[in-house]
Amino acid sequence: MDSLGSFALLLALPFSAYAIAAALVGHWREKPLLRQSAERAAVAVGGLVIVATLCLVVLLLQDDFRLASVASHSNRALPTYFKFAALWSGQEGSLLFWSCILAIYNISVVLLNRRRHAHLMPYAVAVLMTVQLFFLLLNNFAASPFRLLAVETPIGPQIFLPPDGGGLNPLLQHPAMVIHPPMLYLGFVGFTVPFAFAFAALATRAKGEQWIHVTRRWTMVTWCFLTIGVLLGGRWAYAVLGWGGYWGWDPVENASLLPWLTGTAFLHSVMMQEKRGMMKVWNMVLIFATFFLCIFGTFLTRSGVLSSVHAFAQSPIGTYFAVFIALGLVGTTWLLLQRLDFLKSDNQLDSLISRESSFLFNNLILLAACFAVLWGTLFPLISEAVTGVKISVGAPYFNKVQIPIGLFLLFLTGVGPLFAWRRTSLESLRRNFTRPLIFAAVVAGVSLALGARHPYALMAIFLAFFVIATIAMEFYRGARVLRQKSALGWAPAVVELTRRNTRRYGGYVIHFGVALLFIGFVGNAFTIHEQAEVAAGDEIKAGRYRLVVRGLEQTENDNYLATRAKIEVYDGARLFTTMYPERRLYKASQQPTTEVAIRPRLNEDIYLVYAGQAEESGKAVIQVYINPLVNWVWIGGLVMVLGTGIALIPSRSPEAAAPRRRKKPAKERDEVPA
Amino acid sequence: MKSRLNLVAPASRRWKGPTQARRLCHLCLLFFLFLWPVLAVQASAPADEAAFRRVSDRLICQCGCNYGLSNCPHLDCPSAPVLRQAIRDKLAAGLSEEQVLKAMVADFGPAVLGAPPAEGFNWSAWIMPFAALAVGLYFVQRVVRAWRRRPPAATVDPALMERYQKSIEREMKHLEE
Repeated sequence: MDSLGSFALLLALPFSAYAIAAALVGHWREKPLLRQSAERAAVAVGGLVIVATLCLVVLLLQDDFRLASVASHSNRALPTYFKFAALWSGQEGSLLFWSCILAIYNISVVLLNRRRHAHLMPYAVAVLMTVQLFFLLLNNFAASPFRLLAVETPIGPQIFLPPDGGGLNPLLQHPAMVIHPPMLYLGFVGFTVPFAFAFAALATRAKGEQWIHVTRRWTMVTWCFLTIGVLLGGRWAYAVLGWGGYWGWDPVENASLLPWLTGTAFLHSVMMQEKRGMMKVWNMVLIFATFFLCIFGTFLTRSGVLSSVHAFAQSPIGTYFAVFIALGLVGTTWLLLQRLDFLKSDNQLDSLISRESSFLFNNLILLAACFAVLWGTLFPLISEAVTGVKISVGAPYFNKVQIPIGLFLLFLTGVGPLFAWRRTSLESLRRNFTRPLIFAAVVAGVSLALGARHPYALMAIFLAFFVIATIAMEFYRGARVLRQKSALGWAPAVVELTRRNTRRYGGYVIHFGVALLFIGFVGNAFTIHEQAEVAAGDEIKAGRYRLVVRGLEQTENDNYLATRAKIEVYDGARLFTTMYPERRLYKASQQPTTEVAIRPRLNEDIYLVYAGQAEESGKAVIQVYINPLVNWVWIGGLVMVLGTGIALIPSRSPEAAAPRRRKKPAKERDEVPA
Repeated sequence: MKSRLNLVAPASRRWKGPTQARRLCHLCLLFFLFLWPVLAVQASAPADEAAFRRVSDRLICQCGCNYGLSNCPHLDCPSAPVLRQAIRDKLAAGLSEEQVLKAMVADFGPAVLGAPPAEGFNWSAWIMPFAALAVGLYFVQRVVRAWRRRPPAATVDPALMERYQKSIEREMKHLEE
C-alpha cells in the first residue's frame, strides 16, 4: 500500500508538469487536442493524488507503524475517527491532504468549465497545475508521507516496525478536529480556483464579465468553507484549550483570518465590477492577495517560523514556501502591470454618498484590518531583526488596534447596503436611518442604565442593533410591497422576496450574522473568572452562582487515565446543574490534558476547568469562567453560513413566480385577510 | 412626474406614533429580558486579585504558547506559575501595577509584555496600522477624485432615455396602486 501511494505521488509529478506545458503550448499554438490533453492530464493528476491519500488513510486505519507519519501521529488505542483525523495532524499528512483537496477542486474545475469557459481553461489549468506541482514537490521530496522508519544495523539500514505509535496529540483528540481542518483547508485551497480564473482572464484579456461571475461564485463557496473553518477553530480552542476564550490572536489563528478579510473585501468590491465596471485592478489585486495569504498561512502553520499553540507540525519547508510565494508575487505583479490598460474602469463616480463609495470604504477598512493583523503577527520577527530584542505581540496589542477598526466595519455593515447605487438623496438617508438609529440608541441607552460601562461594549451594542434594525427594515419594506401585490402572509412574503433576489437578501442574512457575532464579542467585556483550590465539600462563588465540589472520581480506558471533579452549580438556593470537568493523562504520549465542562445557554456559559493539583495542599485547582453571550458567536457564524447558502442559490425571476400565484383566483385572493 | 426620492412618504410608511412606539418598546423589553442577567452581573473580585488579573492580562506566558499569562492553555506549564507568583510577590510588596510591569520586564525581558512598549522602534507597531489606513484614505480620495472627473462612458440616446423614463413611471404607478 505504501509503495502504491509513493508511486502515485511520483507519477503525478511529471503528469502535472506535462499538463502545464500542454495547456500553454496548446493555447499559444492553437492546438485544441493538446489543450484537451492538458485537461485530461489534470484529471489524471487528481486521480493519482486521491489514490495516494486513500493509501495513507488505509495505512493509518491498519496501524502500519513502519511509516514515520503513522507511527508519529497514531496508536492502536486511538478511536477510528481520530485515526482518520491523524491524516492532517502531522506535517506530511497535512501537506498530502492539501494536495488532495486541490486535486478534487482541479477535477471539478475541469469537468464544470471545460466547455463553458473553454477560452480561460488553458491558463486556468496551467495555474492550478503549477500550484499542484509545488505541493507535489513537497509531498515527494520535502515531507513524504510514505517514508519508512529505519534503523542502522551492521548489514545496513533495516525497516523498523515499532509495537505501537506515539499517538495523536491529545489536544487534537476532539470532534471539532475531525471537521475543522478539512473546512479550513477547503477554504485555503479553494482560493486557488478564483486565483486561476482571474489570472487566466488577465492573461487572455477575456472580454465581458463572465469570468468575474465564475470567480465570484467560486470565491463565495470557498469563503463559506473558510468561515466555517475559522469558526470551528474558535469552537475547538474554546472547548479544548481550557482558557475560557475562543480567539487568542495566535499567529496561526491570525493566518486563517488574513485571507478571510481580503476574500470578504473581494466579495464586496467585485459587485462594483459587475454592476458598474469599476475597480477592476483592485479586484485582481484582492484575489491575488487572498491566494498568496492562503499560501502564507499554510507556511506559518507548517514551518514553525512563529511559535504557536496551533502549530502542530514544524519542519524546514519554509524555504520552499518562500521561493514559491516570491516567484508567484513577481509573476502576478508583472502580469498585472502588463494588463493595466485592459483593467480601466468603465464608469464614473456620481456621488460620494453612494453604494460605490461605501464599498470603497468597506474595502479600505477590511484591508486595514488585514494589514494590522499581518503587521502584528510579523512584528516580533521584524523587531528582532531590526533591534535584536525579542518582543511579544499578543491579545493586548490586537485588541487595542482591531476593536476600533472592527467597530467601524460594523458601522459600514449597517449603512452600506442602504445606500443606492450611483447616488443617495438626503431624504432617502433620513427615511432609512432614523428608526434604526433611534432603536439602537434606545438599546444602548438602556444597557448603560443597566450598568454596562465598557465604552467599546456599548458602541458594539449600539452598532450591532443598528445593523439588525436596518436589515429588519429592508426585509419589512420588501415584504410589504409583495404583500400589497399578492395575498402572501408575512413569512411567505419574506421567503418570496429572498428567492427573487438571493444575492441581496442572502447578503443581508450574512450581515445579520455579523451583527450577532459582534453581540457575542461584547460578552468578553463582562467575563467573570475565578480560581480556587478545592476539596470535597468546598465552595466557589462566581457571579451569582455558587459551586459546590462533591468529590473526585478516577476513570480509565485504553487511551487515557482520567480524574474528574463532580461539581454542583447553584443559582441562589436552586440546584442549577451538575458539571464534570476532567483532567486526562494520555497513555501513549504521556501528555496531560484538561476536558472542560461547559453548560451552554443563550445568555451565558458556565465553563469549568480542572486545571491540576496544587503542589502544597494536593487540592484540585478549579477555574470557573462565566462567559456571557458567547453562544451568539457560534449562532452568528451559522447565520453567516446560511446567508452564504442563500446567496449561492440562483434568484427566481418574478415572471417565474407569477404562474404559481395566478393559480389562485383574484376574487379569492382579495378575501384573504392581510 | 416627480422622481420617487422626492415623493412624500405614503401614509402607510409614515411614523405611526403610539403603535410603532409600542412595538419598539416590546422589542426593547424582549432584548433586556435576555440581556439583563449579563449586564447585571459584574465582576466582584477583591482589589488585590483584580490588580493581579489586570497585570496578568497585560503579560504573555513565556512557554511559547503566545497566549496571555491569564490564558496559557498548557497544563503543567513551566513558565506561567513562576510569572504569576512573581506578580503576586511584587503586588504584596506594595508596588503599583505599572511598577510591577516594569519590574517584570526587568526580570524576564521585554518579551513578557503582551503588547510592544511605546518606545523606539516599537512605536512602529502602533503607528503602522493607522498609517496604512491614512495612506489608504489618501488613495481612496485620489481614486474618488479621478472617478468624479471622468466623463460618462457613453452618451445616452434621448429616445431610449424617454422610453425608460416612461417604463419607470408606469412601474411606480403600478406599485403605488
